[in-house]
Amino acid sequence: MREVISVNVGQAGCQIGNACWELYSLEHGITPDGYLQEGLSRPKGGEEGFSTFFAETGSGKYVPRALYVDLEPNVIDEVRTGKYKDLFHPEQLISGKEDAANNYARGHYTVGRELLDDITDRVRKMTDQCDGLQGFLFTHSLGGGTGSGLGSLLLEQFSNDYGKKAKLEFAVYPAPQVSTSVVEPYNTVLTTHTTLENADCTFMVDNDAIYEMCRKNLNIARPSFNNLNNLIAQVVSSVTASLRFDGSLNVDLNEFQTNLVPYPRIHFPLVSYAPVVSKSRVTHESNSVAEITAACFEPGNQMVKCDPKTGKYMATCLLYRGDVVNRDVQSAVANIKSKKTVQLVDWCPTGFKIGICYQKTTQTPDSELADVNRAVCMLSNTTAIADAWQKIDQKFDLMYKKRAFVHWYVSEGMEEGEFAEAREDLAALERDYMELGADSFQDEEEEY
Amino acid sequence: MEDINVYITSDLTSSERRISPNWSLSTFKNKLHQITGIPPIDQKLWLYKTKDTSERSQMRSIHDDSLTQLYEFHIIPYTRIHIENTNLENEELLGIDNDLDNSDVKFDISESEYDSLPNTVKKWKQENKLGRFDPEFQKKKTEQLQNNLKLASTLNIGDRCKINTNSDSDSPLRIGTIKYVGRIPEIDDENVWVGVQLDEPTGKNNGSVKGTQYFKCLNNYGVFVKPMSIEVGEFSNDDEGLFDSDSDDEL
Repeated sequence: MREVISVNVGQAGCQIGNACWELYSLEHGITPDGYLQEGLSRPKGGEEGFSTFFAETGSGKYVPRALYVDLEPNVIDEVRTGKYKDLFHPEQLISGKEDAANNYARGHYTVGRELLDDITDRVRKMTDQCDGLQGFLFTHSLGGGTGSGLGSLLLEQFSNDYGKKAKLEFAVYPAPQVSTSVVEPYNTVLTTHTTLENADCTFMVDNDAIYEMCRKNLNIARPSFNNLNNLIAQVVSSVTASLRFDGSLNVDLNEFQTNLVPYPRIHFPLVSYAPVVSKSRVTHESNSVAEITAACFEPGNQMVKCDPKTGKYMATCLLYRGDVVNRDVQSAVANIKSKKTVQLVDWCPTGFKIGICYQKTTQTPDSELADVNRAVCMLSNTTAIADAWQKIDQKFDLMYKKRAFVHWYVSEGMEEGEFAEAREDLAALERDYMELGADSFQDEEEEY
Repeated sequence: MEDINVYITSDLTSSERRISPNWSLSTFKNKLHQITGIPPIDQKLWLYKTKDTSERSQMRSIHDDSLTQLYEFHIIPYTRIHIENTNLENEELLGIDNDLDNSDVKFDISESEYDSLPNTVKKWKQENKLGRFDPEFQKKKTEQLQNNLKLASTLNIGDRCKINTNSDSDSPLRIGTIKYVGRIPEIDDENVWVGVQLDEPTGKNNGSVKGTQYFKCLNNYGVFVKPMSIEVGEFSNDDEGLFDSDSDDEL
């Protein structure tokens, strides 16, 4: 068996976790209390893939290989008392008493560190039950205190404890326009610096981009976290589908890194998803392989706002689900490659990796997304994603120049030097991305 | 009592938050300090009555913030609470809402600092002879440079031409007249560039690059490209027959 353990940290991480596990349960035919749905003799989609994400207890009950961690109790209390309360073992749900107050230092050093032993013990118990642990899948936000501080602390700790096991992240990235808290740029830069060497692959999701998708494509006038998280869960589900269902083309957690990450620091693929279409509109769309593939190259389908036309692609994975035949995929890819707007880094091998999972997507009852016969999730390592760092780095600089709010971090035992060190690392990352975009023969087409 | 989700906004921030009706107003204000950066003493809280109204009322306690609990305000889920900063002289908040595009504070490391770091993309490229560190790359680059020089010598001022950059299927045909062939130190010091006055305003300038005028034309009618992007011929705007048959036409 090739187990994958999900680790949901902080409010955003736990709520996305909820949406994901609800979806996984539906996709595999598992009831909210952890048993097979009536009429099923085995989980949908094959037992081998299923067992990477669910463990079977003796009595025919299935338990997610997941851990929930939050510094304050409320969000996890809702899991403890909610619809899925019996799905999880109480030991998988860890909460503290005091929140991180939007402060990386509280999540990383003071409040968060107090929970560390407890968390590592529980994780050890879960990994002991695995035959062949593949690695971990984190969900957390980068802007909040717990997600950024404790999230990066756990990634560091797991690097020590589990060596080379893969660690992938789904990270809620701050929207470029409006901050959710005044210190969000600090938290983001600090956690990115800490995790740069500890995460193998990070899929970023910017709330603003998802928000717009909900508004424009799903006709939700005022999207709430629930709407956003349902959409994020659908994307996470598509990325993990190849691990969870038998007979899929892409099967290993490590393969994401192998296929998408040319150099360890450059591990932030852009995620796109199509179709994002509401139940009322779905009958008007033909939703062919060619269409959904092309849609992935439209900014409106991206999880992070940036302009891939200004960047260069290093690698691309297209993960299809549902009624998809390889021939259609090949012609869709050929069509994309012929477009001049899709520029590849031509000094380093760039390929289109294809994954097909024949299980189509499922929708949760309260989702606005239409039920479709096919969908695709694109993971592309493009230099355009560096846009995301630039904005946040600038916001960081405006505040740090005046040392605004730095005392909140210092009073939690953090050294001021860590700010400068983190910021230098991010400046180097920006230069790394520039270096990747350089030396292309397509530059011949430049004009002034 | 169950938590309520509300939108918290201030001049600098906007977020959806869970709040507990059991919190005292002073607890809430302390949390708002961490979110908005506005100290409790400078906060003025505005509660919007419903989702779709601009009608709002101030949230305040009669005697003591620590004795007033949030449920007393009858907050409806998914309404908005706006935090106004009443102290515009607040040191920490001052200036951090600067227009980012016009700000020059951006920190950067120098090329030599970048070169001194142990793990960088540049080091990786050097070690693995990738990109410009690949001897083959340099050879190809030189060949291309030579090729461009050769092409340049075939071009004459006044020639009609078509520009073959951005020749994506959905970009329009661009034709014009060659006005300049030669070096442009403002761009680089190795290439020969061709200045073209276009028939349509689909260019980038008025014949000048960074202040130096190479030829004169109206704004956006001028463009500079490399010789390899130029195709000379008797092109004219209204002659449909000259549209290239092999320009992608699927769209």
